[in-house]
Amino acid sequence: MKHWSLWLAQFSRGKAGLAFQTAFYLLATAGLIFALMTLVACDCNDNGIDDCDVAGEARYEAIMKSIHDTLSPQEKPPATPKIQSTSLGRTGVLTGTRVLHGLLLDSFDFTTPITYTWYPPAGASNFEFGREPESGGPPFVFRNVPANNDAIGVTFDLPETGAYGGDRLPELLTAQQGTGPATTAYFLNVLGQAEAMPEVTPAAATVAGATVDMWDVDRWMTREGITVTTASCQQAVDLVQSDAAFLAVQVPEPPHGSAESALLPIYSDPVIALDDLNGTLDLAGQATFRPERATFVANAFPQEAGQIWVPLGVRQTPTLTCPTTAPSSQWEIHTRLTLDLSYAENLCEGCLLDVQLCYEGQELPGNAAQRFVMERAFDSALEQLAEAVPDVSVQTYQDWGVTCAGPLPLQLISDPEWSNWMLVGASAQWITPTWTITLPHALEGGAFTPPAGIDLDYDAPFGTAWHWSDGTATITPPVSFAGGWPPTNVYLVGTVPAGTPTGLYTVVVTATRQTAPTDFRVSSDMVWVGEWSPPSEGGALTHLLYLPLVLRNKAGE
Amino acid sequence: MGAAALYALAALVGGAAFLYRMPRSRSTPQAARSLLWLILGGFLGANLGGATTVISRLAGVALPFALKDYSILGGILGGAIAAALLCRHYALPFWRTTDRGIPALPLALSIGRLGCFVRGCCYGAPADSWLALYLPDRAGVWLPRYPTQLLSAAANLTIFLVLVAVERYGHPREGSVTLLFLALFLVKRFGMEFLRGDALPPVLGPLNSTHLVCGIGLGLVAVLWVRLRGRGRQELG
Repeated sequence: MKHWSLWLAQFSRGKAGLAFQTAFYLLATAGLIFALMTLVACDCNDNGIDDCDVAGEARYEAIMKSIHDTLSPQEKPPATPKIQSTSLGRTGVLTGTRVLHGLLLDSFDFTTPITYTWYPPAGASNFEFGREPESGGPPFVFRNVPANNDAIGVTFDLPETGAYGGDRLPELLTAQQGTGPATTAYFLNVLGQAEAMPEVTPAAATVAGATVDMWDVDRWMTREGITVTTASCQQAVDLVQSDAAFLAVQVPEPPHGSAESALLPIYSDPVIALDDLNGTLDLAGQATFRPERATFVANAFPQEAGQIWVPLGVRQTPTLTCPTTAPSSQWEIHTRLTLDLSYAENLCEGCLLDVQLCYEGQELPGNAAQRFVMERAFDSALEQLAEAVPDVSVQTYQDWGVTCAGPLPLQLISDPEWSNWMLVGASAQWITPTWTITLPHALEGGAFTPPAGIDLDYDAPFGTAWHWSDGTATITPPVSFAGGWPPTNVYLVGTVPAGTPTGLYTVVVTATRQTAPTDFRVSSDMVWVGEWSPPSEGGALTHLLYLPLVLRNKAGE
Repeated sequence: MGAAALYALAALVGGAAFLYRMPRSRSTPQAARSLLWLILGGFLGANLGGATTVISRLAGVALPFALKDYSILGGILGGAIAAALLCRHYALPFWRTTDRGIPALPLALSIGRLGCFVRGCCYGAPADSWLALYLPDRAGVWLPRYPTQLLSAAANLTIFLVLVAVERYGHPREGSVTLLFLALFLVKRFGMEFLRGDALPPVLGPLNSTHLVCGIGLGLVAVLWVRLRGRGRQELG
């Protein structure tokens, strides 16, 4: 033993020993680097991002978990208002007619006084009230209304014609008991028709105060690489909280009696939150109805039988303030909506609801002469798009001064355990013509033995050479999908040719299972083509935000 | 795994170059062992940004600007501190020693950036330029982007060649090779940040915290340069 250790000591002091030690330390250095970088680059969940890259993982999670819907039992509010139309003293069609409506409660099994807020039809005049509202209005506010079933009579003249030729004049009544959730009744007056709101019978009957399964609909839209500074964040938040931005969601018409209002299926305040993925920015605003946009959405958007559009926006109080801490370049908009579709067939499971994102303004950037030429080109392009792909486009509603993108599909798939198969990934991108654009999506969840064939389709109103890729090579659907984890990434890749008109485009992606049940999943992306410029507000607003996600600094700066 | 192998290769080649440039003696294994400390120092320094961010969050104190979790600039700072401690421990002249060893660093970094290329980190901003290549970011979004990893690798290799040429033909004063490396590297990093897709948000005009760190680093290099020149004159005097 002693002899062996002596030999080792002699060897280590010799020339060969020194070389051996040097080589050992050199290799140890390389090994240390290898170990450290393998540790840093570990990717146990196989999503292509280091597990230690917390921001990257969070970003990936946010991108991939862009959809989550659940059905959960919740109590319907007890105080539900109703607008009742009476044909008393009225003959013929509703045009320039004096009408009598009663504002009342659909249920009244409680004692706390109610506050009514009544939004009369646009253009209505010569109001007379059975109970005087607070001064001011419209909207007209009635406070401390006893919780009984006595109707407040309101009499008024409907206009001869609706604004901008729209003949559908919605009327809303909001009721709130103390500080409880506000509920809203929707009544539609249609000029030129003898009677509005024909009876709709429910697929499933529910009563006020009952506990029913409601949808909690969560959507995340993410965007990275767009810098958010405190100033630009505040501009964006100010715009979102202003009257200029709103969205509309189309829901199945709730049940109601003949000539009676329908209760809108959104009770509790929805949430719209702007946050970054580093946790330095986290702003949550309460969404609310935008009654002033009800006439627009009831006339400008495609109207389908048995469906109504509900306009929503962000509540203007309290004012949201962006933090002064370090901003991030990775951020997202999170929307959460609770929908009571308990009256719909099968709770509306699998329904496709349409969503429109809108802002006030439609002028294109540039000087007057440039705008004139560009507007012609823009309108012409939109017309062509509308002909080619009538369901997916951006429309300018010039008479209303509003631009909307949509319809964006909102598919309701209950997935409480995150176990259903899903087509996820919703991104907003900004691209210059001649670039190649990649829209990342992923199939995830479910379990298929043998693997299911998933066909992929897209509806893109712009771009050329669209094709599917798995991230490394072009693929031809159907895609073999076994479900589970990790997700199967699919990328829709296309080229934006020179001359593509500047503007917003929506791309709808559909994944359909080829074997029974041949169910399908829908997702969408929003793409701004060209150098982004803000919509002209025509006023003092200086925000440069394009809903939903493209944010820049002030023009010219 | 491929990226980690390339990083290890970078360490192996850089380490071999470092030892090749050191005078051969019985202390060569010591120099090789020092590599381990230099790497550890560099690794700790590289994580300085992430550690600062975590500490600031735990303490509830907001940083005035965002820092990168991992940064080569922090790595160089950590390596420099480790080098200073090692020189002190072994009673070696700091500038003369670093002048000898420093050219191995850009050589290693040029290989290391290939690891970044394989890994997909340090990716470039989307670009409509003749330079652009169709590349992914860390989230797997493929777009024409500046190939910042390859540009960085080429720039580091150029810096290595410049340092070797200056050393051989320029008769540099003590510390000059080290300071020249730092100056060239910081200028390269400053410019490259404009092309990076994972660049932090600007905090001063178009400049972000990486730009500011590079600027401060260049200022320090200038100060050290003046001080070393002054010391050289005194010694000559």
